[in-house]
Amino acid sequence: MWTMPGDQHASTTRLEPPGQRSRDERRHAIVARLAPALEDLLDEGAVYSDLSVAALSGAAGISRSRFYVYFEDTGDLLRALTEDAIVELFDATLAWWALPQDGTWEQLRTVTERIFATYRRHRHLLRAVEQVATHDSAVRQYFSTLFESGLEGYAAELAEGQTRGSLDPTLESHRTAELLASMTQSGLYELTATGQLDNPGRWIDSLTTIVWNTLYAPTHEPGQDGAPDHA
Amino acid sequence: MAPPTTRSKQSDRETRRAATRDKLRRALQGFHEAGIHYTEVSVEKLSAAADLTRTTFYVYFDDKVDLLVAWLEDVRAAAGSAPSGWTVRDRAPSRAQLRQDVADARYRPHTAVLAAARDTALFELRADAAYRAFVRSSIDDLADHIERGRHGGWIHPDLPAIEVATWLASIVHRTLSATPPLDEDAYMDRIDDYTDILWNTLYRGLAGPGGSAPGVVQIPTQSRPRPK
Repeated sequence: MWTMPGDQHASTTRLEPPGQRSRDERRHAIVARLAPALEDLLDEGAVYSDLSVAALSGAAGISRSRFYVYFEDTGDLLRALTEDAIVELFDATLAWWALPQDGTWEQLRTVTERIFATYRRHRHLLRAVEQVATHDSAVRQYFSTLFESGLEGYAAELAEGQTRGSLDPTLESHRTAELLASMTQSGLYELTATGQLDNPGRWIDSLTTIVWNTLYAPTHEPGQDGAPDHA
Repeated sequence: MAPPTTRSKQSDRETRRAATRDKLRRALQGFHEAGIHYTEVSVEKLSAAADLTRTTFYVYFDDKVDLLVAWLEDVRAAAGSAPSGWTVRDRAPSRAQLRQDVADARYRPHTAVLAAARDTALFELRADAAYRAFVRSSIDDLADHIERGRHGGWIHPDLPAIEVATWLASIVHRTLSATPPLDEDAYMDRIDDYTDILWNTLYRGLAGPGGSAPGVVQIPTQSRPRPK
């Protein structure tokens, strides 16, 4: 689920009640402290939805009652934990649609590599999001809203590329971006689950080729940009 | 050999189990259409929606995963084990043919089961194994098709078959397992989008409007009857 930076937390212009800012800061500090401990737990095979508030607050070094001062429930904590990861993935993925007119397959591959590296760094939390979304409708709603706004950004970028003439003008921008993004998301999830993300070279190549062929090959003459070696 | 009475009792039980499975599947369909995930529904709720008691459920199934694995087998039997549509071809389809074949997806009537399988596979090893095997067969069909195309000169010889097939199959299965299911318009839009991605990825460079690349066999564009 990569998506865009939500404006849910970023509204510095909004008038906030006194103390709000420091509460947000404390919330962030708890999240920052908890994230590594939680990644370790998940890495050892724990399933996020099986973790209790007691276990999570223990890992964050706060009491159960303080947990509820900062978070509504474990789904709310997951939203706070994964926001940065999702913003990073959104940024990384945005570059897919923004290759210049003389862009090459190799440049696109560099983008794909960065998407993989970002996903890999946050794979446990991103996996937890997918799992929790199947049974927690608040989490599901939150992430699908984020995904939707992310798509708006992708589609806008893709449409600009079409106007510049750097990618296939016949594609429907929003849906094409959605399909490629969700293909990547399911594929990366699957590669993580089967342990193949540790040696991703051929997966990076093949995904780059699909994106290249779909978006850029139609507007790039073969034989001029190195693509045919991989297409 | 068991005496005939035992055998017929056995097959009675099988029949009743199949009937129960079908009732539960209609209940699943209702939840799916309402946007409720199988992972959110208890055995009690599912049974009640099928006008069954929890006790009856457990007469025939160990748990929800057991039921799900049985449903997946039903889907496999109903949709047939032969590879679907265009992947059986020994040449590049025309773009129109490709679209038609994609639209004929045999799994469409089974999206509720596929959604349940995908969701449950995120948690349960048995469901994961069953769903993975299911997806695997469509990856293999497509990978074989790409291999044949690479050798036959109608797909680029450097296109990595298994990896590309894995990515492409994952979009198809993701759409098929959406909750709630896509409505007719959204579904038809998807068909167009898949056709674009499949066409551009697999065939365009060699069979596209620009004609075939130098040194590559010309693709016959005339269609022939689809193999049954």
